[in-house]
Amino acid sequence: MATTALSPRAGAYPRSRVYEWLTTTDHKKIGIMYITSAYIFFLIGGLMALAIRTELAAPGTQFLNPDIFNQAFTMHGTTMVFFFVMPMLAGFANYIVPLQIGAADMAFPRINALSFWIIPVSALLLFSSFGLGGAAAGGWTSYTPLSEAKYAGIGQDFWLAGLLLNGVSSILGAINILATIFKLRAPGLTMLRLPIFVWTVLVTSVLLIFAVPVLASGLVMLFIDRNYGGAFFDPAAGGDTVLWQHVFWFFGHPEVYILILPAFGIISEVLPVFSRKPLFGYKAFVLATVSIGVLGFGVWAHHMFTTGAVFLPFFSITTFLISVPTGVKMFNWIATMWRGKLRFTTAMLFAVGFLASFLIGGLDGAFSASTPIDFALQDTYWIVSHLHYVLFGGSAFGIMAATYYWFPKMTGRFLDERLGKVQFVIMFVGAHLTFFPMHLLGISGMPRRIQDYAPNVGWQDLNLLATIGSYLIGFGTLVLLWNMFVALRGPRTAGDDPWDANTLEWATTSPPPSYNFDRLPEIRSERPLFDLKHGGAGHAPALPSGEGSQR
Amino acid sequence: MTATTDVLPTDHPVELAHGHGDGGINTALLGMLLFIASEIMFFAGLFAAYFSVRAKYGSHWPALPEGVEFAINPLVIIATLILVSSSGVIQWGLWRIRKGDRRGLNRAFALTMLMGLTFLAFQATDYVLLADEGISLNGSIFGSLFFTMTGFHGAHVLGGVIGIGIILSRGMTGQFSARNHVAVEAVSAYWHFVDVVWIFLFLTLYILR
Amino acid sequence: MIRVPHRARRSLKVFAVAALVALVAGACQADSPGIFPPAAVTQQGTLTQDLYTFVFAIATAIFILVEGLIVWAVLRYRRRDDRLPVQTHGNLIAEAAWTVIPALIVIALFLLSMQAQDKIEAKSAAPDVVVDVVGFQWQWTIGYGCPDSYESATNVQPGQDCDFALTGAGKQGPDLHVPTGQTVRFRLHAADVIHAFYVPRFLYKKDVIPGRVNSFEVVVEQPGTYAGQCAELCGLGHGEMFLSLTAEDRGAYDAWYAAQVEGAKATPAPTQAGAYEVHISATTAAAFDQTEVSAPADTPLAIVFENRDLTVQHNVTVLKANPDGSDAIGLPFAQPGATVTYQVPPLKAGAYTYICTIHPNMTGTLAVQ
Repeated sequence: MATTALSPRAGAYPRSRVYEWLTTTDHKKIGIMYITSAYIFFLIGGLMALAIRTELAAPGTQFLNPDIFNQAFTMHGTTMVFFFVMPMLAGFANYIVPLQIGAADMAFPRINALSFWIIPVSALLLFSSFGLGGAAAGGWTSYTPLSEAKYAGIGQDFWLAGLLLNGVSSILGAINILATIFKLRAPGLTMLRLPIFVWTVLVTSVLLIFAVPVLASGLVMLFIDRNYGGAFFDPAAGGDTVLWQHVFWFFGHPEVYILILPAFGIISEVLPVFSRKPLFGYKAFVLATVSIGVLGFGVWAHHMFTTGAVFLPFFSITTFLISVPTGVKMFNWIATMWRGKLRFTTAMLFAVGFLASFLIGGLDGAFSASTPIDFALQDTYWIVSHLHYVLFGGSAFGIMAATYYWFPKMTGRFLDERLGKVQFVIMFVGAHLTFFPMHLLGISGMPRRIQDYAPNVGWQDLNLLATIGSYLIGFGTLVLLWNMFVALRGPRTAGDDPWDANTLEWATTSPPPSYNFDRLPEIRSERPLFDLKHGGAGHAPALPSGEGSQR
Repeated sequence: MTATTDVLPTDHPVELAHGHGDGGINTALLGMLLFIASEIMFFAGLFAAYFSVRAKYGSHWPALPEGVEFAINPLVIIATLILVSSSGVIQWGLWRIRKGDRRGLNRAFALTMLMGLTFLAFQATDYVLLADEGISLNGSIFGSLFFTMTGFHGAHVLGGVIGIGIILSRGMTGQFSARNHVAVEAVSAYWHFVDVVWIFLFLTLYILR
Repeated sequence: MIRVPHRARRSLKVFAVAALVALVAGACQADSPGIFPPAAVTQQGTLTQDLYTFVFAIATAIFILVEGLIVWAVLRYRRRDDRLPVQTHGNLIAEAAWTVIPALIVIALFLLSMQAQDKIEAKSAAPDVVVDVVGFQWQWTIGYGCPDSYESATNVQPGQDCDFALTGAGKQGPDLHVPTGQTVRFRLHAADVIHAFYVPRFLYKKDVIPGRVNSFEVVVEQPGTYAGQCAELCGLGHGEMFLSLTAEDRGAYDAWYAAQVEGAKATPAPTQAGAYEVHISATTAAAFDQTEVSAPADTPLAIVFENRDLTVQHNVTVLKANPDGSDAIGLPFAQPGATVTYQVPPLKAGAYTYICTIHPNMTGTLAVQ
């Protein structure tokens, strides 16, 4: 920052700004560090994705040999799931949740710092494997026995150790968030007045506490198999190799909701603000979030329909049913926009882009819940398409919306809206261009995780299209980075409440002081700031009241 | 997984909060209970692995190399009794400090620590004896499960003993009182958890088989 | 606030929609990948296809409805003044409707799926043909007429105990034959890691898992040759683990079967006396230990191949070594740790290339002087 040299503090304190950031326990600084490092991992994971797409643009080996290719998609998946989306959402949760509930900080500030600092250490562990004999190459799912010592090199051990550490960070973070939400809410902020983002983070944290330790137990068992002669997943030594899949997906499916629920929460903050209406069906939304969390633990084996080792009807019906609460949310979001006064800021555009894209990922779910259709589509590019519609069209668009929405609060500065809209258009077109053709490739029989395909099977054009799309996404990311770079050099013009928003984080300065609030408005609904500006729930007659109003 | 001491409320983070929750449970104790919930899920993963493998083998269990027998060692029964009763002792210590009796707390925690260490010593002895009989981590699926489950439990006992040690050293300097003893609550909750896990392990690995 | 001009926004939207429509339309051309699966060739696959079409119709209806609502909201409710809109908090009837109706739809889809699944996963008491498939890194061995013990035996190597066994030569993989109109049971065994047996035109796949025997049955109705490929990541050669499947009428199938049985009887030639021994070994899948070996011309050769690689199978195939110019394929593959001797007919002087058919990157030169 240009003002650093002129800062009066620089001379007055021997401790540098860097030292301050390295030792901070302020949830806002930690949140920003989470978000910054997550964006760095987004770039790393994105470069790997571009390498994969470059190789697949045409038949034959042009860019990556099978060995590097397998490492690339394994590390792409691992990076994006564990080091981009999870820390990113943890970062937003860290920054926003204490503000939205009117607290001064997290419940355990020092553990909060520890949770963050584990992330770069675990990443270092994971990525160092590239230089030490090759990274893990068994996919982000690392199915046994391919990930056993007999078939996978030392990179797999780094992968196990890295994820174990990452898991410790997630668990500690989740405990902290839950304790914060349960114990540090401002007076009057009852559970059913919590902003929806806080609710989704709450359910996510519960999922983390119940799911991540199970993965940890699997990681430990595989580590023992690989290094100390254990027999857990090795059928030759009496173990059960399908067990790994059960353990992994018992974690892995709740993980999908861990990655998407906070994005649901972000969308549920952005849509009401830019529609100038409350979230439609708040209680139903909370109920849907909780039931997704509960049902999320009963669907894991739908990843294993083709193993012939699971009870198909149970996991089929639970998977079908989990689409119901998700559908409820979709209709609630649309009803929120209905008869509103929509303002298309970049955040709003990404939120609407989220609705349009996530819908496709959600409808895909009905196909893979149907066992016979899953037999045809499992492990093909169709699955790759489905999961990216959910994770890119869903989580990543949600993250973009959050970035544009909360950037003014975090920095006091606006991201440029014109650049933002350019980025949105590039990314929206890029995402669909990348991921929609994968549906078609998968349906026609292209397996996932192959490094090459024959020129005579008709997969060439669609793969080329997907590659072009992925470069568009990459270009859109550059626009975002440029936007951030320019904005951070600009003046602080955002003000406290630039979006005319509803929740408490906008009731303090941008950026907030280290103690967050000088004073809090009275809280009588889930929109305390709206109540303050417009008379509030207690003064309903002043507002035009909806015919269908429930409360 | 065993970073238990980080969760101990050695400072007073509650003071940072100017929020006012529902009252009720102390924040640090809530943190410990949530941590215990995650620990339960970790062991649940190991138990799930055990029962999944166990179901596959039916009557051929424990699956061990030819000629190797697995029998319960009387040492283990004694160790179990010690660990289970230590839960009572630590709870007694907690009741004492709730009434403001610092000496009672210190005595109870010293005794609990001793009992925990005895348990670990007995477990180590059992490991040595089992190794002599040819049961080890590598070589059989039963051995892998047995040593992983009991080994991780042992590590948690050790973590608990360290936690108790910290409480004890703070207790000796008179840092706890009838009003201020949340760390004592947290550590004893953790110790009960370690104890309950052992009861399940003992029943699963030794009795039900 | 910077506002993008109205016209520019609309034209962007039109462009995006047009691009998507063009993409879908382009993808729907005949004979290229489309939004519907390729025509199923089995009875079972036809059920899947019908189910897919049904689910697709419902999904498309929901898609059009919901995207329509989104687009309508975006176009209709753009902010035009600063007055506060009506603050609607919810509507019980609407919310109940969009909970119950989707629930009924998915329960109907579930019941239809189960109905189809029961037929697709059904096993007959006595299938007409049983084919044993063994997946290994990175090829398939196919056993015909294998013993009943294969129904549950997890670690099998079809060979002398079966009527005959097929292995692939190079990248093509083996060519399985099955009769049309008859029940064929595939039993799936894995020799090392997990693979998946996937023939796209079946609209079906099943995992090939070490430590268990999976099986499924199909009745192929359309004669023809269909490509198959491993669908579960299995290591370096995963993308090249192909097979093909030829469905023909029972008569042609029987003739093919008889010829294969004849061939199997004839193959194991006894070691020729006086053959010149060439020793080759392999420790990894990266390369042979010997990349240059030599042998005298016009002498029968015996390649003694020692597979020191404890992870995967290898062989030695001498390219263009047979009198008719075809490759002398080294069969059977050498199991990890095993030593196998391959017979090669007398060669004329010159340089010959030898490769491992499973790992064509492993090459060497046989100099015949």
